[in-house]
Amino acid sequence: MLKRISLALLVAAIASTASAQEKKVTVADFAGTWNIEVMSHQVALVIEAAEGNKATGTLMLMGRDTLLKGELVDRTISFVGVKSEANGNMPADHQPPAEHPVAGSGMPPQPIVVTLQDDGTITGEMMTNNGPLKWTGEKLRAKKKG
Amino acid sequence: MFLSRREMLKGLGASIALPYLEAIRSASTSPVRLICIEQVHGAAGSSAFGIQNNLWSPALTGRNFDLTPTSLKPLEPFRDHITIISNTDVPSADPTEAREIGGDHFRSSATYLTQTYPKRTEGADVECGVSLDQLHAQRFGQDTPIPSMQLCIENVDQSGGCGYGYSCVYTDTISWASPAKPLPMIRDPRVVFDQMFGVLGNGSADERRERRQEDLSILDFVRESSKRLLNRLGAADRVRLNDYLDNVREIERRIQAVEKRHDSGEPRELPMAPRGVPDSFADHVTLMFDLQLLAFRSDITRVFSFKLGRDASTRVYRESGSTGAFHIVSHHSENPDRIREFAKINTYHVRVFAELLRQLKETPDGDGTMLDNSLVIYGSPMGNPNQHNHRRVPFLVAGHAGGRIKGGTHIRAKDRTPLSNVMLTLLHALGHDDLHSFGDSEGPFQLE
Repeated sequence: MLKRISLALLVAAIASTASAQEKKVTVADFAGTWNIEVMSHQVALVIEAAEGNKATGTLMLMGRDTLLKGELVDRTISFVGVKSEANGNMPADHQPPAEHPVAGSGMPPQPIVVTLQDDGTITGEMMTNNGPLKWTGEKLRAKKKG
Repeated sequence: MFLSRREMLKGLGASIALPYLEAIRSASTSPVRLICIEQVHGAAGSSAFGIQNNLWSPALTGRNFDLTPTSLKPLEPFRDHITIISNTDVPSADPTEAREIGGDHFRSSATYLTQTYPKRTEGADVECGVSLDQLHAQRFGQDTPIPSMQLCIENVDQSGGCGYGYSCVYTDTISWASPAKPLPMIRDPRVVFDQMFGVLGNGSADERRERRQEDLSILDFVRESSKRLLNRLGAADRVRLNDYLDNVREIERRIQAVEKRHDSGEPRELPMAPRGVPDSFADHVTLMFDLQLLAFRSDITRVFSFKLGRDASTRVYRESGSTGAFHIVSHHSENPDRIREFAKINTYHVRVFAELLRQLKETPDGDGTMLDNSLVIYGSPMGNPNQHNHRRVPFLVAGHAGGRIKGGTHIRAKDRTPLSNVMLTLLHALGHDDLHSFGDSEGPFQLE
């Protein structure tokens, strides 16, 4: 009986290892345009693969584009902002109030952590004026226009 | 005695089309009328909690649906006339590239009746699709003095870009005569009234203005003409005509009362709104509904589109039981209590809508009622407003479209069914049998 259980555990362990090897995540898995929901706002996060386990990105948040650089560890890329500028998406009367937790400073709250989930979505967390903020995101599906 | 459908009561500066009379009816059949209404910014029932708790669409499909927990409860008296279609999506409103993400408010309304992706531009090169109401008006609206009318409740006087690189016209109208021609919507009931009764006759803009300043009624100008006609009609038609003229006068009186109140200097809830616009949402919508019914009765037009608000509206609908601003409440953070509060506003809007159905149902038309011979579309291109998504959008149709739609049923579409499939089938019901596609449709939708 004990032998059977040991054998079953061994098989399960081997299968698990094989599965993990098959699902090894690379920065290429993150590459693309993501529609992430941050506090009921749709925000674009564009991720591009760089050399090795490095990645660059652009976060289009509250009328600003913030360029990001980050590094992948396991299934998670940790980004930091390097430059931020207005992108013209938000007219003056649509600007969020200064007290809005993700508004105002021009630079995004930092760091931004992005984790790839098994179902192909991403989850993340960013520090804001009101503390850590969790979010989820889906990859933008290619769609025919017109 | 037979009267021509085009006979009118005429006077200096005013003309009034006739209602359906026995003398006219025998010479023509009842046409199908179309009203397309946008309830902006989705519904509480499109959230996960709202779906579980049937806050918009009922649990059961088929004929035995229970409206009790839903925002559609006010439609119970009309259940035989309504067809609820749940679980459809509006993919044409989804973003297609990074710059469009977050811009849902600024393109959503444009997709509602076109089911077409709007080109992202702030310039004059706007591009979308021909809207359902306009397809119908262009083919069947030429028999009436005005092919179609476009109405709205909130301000549509924005210009330039509204956000995320989208022109404001995408948020200002739901009617598109061609892919490059959005049609302006009328907010002021006075303008609607004047178009309905001025466009037909010899009244110049100055004459109409003078009539308003003197606080006269349009009936004063057609008094002689109506007297002559009444003498020619049978007893039943005399009652019908007098009832109709009373109705015209009643609506005109309400518009004049609103204008008078707003001229008095009393503080207004909507200080920027035109003087003919009632400050109360219910009063405004009801007045617009009454004008639509009047237009149908007199066959001035058979096609209306009607936009009930703006996604980003901060209006407070106190009569709903919610004291929060519309847009703030719509962003419910998936909190059950807050979702239920948004559902109160949805229910309130449906309650006001039910008043239109009541009037249509009470208006005889041919061998049935005006509701039998109408198709009223009520829905939104937005699903869950908290996520700004366009999935599982709220949608229903009322009326039997002259017998082409059976009604009295709830149909749950297969996942990922585009709403355009339903709209294609509605166009078929309206007589556009030769249409093979509409917007991004994949095929017709079974409405039985």
